[in-house]
Amino acid sequence: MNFEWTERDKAFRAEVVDFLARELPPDWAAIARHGPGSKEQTEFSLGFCAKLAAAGLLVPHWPQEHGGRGGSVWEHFILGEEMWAAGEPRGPQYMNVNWIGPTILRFGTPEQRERYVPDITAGCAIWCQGFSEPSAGSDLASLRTRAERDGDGFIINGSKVWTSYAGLADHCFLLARTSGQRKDGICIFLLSMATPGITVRPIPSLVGNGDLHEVFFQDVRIPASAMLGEEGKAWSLITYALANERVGIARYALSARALAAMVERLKADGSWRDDIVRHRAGQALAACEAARVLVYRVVDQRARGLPPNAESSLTRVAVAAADHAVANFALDFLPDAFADDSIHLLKPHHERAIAAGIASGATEIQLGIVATDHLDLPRS
Amino acid sequence: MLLDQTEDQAALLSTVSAILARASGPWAPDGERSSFAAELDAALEASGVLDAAGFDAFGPATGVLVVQDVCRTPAVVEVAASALIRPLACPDAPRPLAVLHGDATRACRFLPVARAVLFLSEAGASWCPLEPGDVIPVEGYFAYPACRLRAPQACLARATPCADPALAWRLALLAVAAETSGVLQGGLESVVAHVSDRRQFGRPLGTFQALQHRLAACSTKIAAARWLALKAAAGTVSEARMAAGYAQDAVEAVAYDLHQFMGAMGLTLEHPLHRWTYRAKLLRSDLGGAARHYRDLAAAEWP
Repeated sequence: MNFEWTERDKAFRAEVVDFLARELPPDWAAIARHGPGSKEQTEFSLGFCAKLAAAGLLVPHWPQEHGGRGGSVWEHFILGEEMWAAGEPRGPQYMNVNWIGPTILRFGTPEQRERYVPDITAGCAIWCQGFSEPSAGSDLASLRTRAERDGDGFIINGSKVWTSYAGLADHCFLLARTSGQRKDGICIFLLSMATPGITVRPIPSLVGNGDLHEVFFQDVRIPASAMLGEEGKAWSLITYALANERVGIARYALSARALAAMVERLKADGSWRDDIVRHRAGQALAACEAARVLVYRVVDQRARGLPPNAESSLTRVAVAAADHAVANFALDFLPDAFADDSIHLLKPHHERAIAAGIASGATEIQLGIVATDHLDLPRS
Repeated sequence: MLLDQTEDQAALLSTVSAILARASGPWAPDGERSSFAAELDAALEASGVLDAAGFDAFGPATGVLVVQDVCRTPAVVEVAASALIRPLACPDAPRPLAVLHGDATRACRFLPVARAVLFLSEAGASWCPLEPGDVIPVEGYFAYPACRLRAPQACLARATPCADPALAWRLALLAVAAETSGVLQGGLESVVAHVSDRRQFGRPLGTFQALQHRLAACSTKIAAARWLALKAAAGTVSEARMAAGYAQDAVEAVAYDLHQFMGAMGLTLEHPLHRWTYRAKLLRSDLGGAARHYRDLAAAEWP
């Protein structure tokens, strides 16, 4: 049992940190205040990710033949930690490198890989995920969007909701049903957001304007070649794709960075002498480090080739708790900072903390998985 | 980074498991609020597993694993100080080893069975061998056997200073983190077994979502406490403070839920739940408690 980083891991982290110090512009704070899902940060990601790609740091964990370095699982997570700690300058493109690209590489046809992967590895592709629907949020298997066979293609009808990045996305990773019920009959389609019949409507939200959208599909015709994997067998692909998402976002790194910025303000205004303030700061820091060590536990299992298990869900609960601990620290001791937006990353952190226990699988869903699959409690 | 157990650690822990399996008989609740499993304590000492942290091949992380495994059982033995503090900070001290923090006149767990006491104060750390007449019995309220020193100043006067008091402090914090995470895990496993079997309203209690989610939340806190302690084993004093504080902070919510879900059975001394929860309740305040550790952590992190 060894918690030490290897020299290679240390060198890789230093490379990422140096890149961020060099390439984040002087006005990064003004861009980052809008949050990772914002229009501003999405547009910024196009130039930034191109530079990351040129430096070999966009998909370092991918195989060399697909533009990566063949880096380790740990390097993938070090990259995510440092990016998220900086406010996630990759914007929506973190999804490309974490799971959309790898899923296309694993299950896509040669034509699909040739069509989509080069733009992802060049850092110039914006994707959205067409998963949630008005009647299918936590219960994703109840999705209703239909894909009807029509000659050599499909006709899509239905709607998606709470879709991040849809306003600027080039492509959609869409779930739709060709037949069956629940987990049977679901397909994945890769399609252009410019396809006729797609309408995107932004939804004003607490997590930053421009982040959430409704997406309507009305008689959207796509070729059969847009399907990823086998018809009606997408559930296992989704499980593969999202296994990484459970712990793929290093939210605790941003939480810890925001907490440190708050402490500097509290030291400057004299509040740091208060025992209660230091107690709560230590408590919030411990929550961040608790989340971090549990994430490392899951990454370690992945690095050793073990199959995903319910520890990912357990870890998600801890990650959300860390977000909330830091967000509540801000509300208790620095409410004025929200008014003048004067602490770097405080506002985007708070906005994402609201969503931390909802996005990518609600905390209550994770608790249910922990209860039955980790504690082996009886199912009702 | 490699977070799996080494082959040596796995072999040592299977020895611990075998000792615990052989000694499982005497753990039955005896109607007493406090208890001490003397035979198990002696068996652990005789096996040498409590000395592992002092060997380079094992180190403090192995000590943490041993403490967590032993504390999952309802048997109360002196394992945390012996497996984590003694091998590295005061190897000449006999065991069982009681740890007395601050005011030396206070009641202290394990003093009735201890052969030595470790004094921890802001000024440093020292240890003193004990004879049976050195202690005065007190009522054991918290599942541990407890006593006061008859002549604390005399004990302090004859105490041997630890060569590295900062190390003793760090290991004491680590011992609290390991012991607390272990007893909470043991209590959780007991309650999970209970709600899986116990039927009310025509179905097992454990099928109710209200219980499932709270037990899952407890499991998350305990897992984090376990891994923070393991990470702190080879880390800094700040990491030890964090691990101790986090584990102690978890006690309030976890102990409450464990008792709620065990119901009236857990109020009796015929069920061993108190062997876990009432150890955890005393551990909450050890070495100053979570509030102190969090403050110290914050002060060191952001000087």
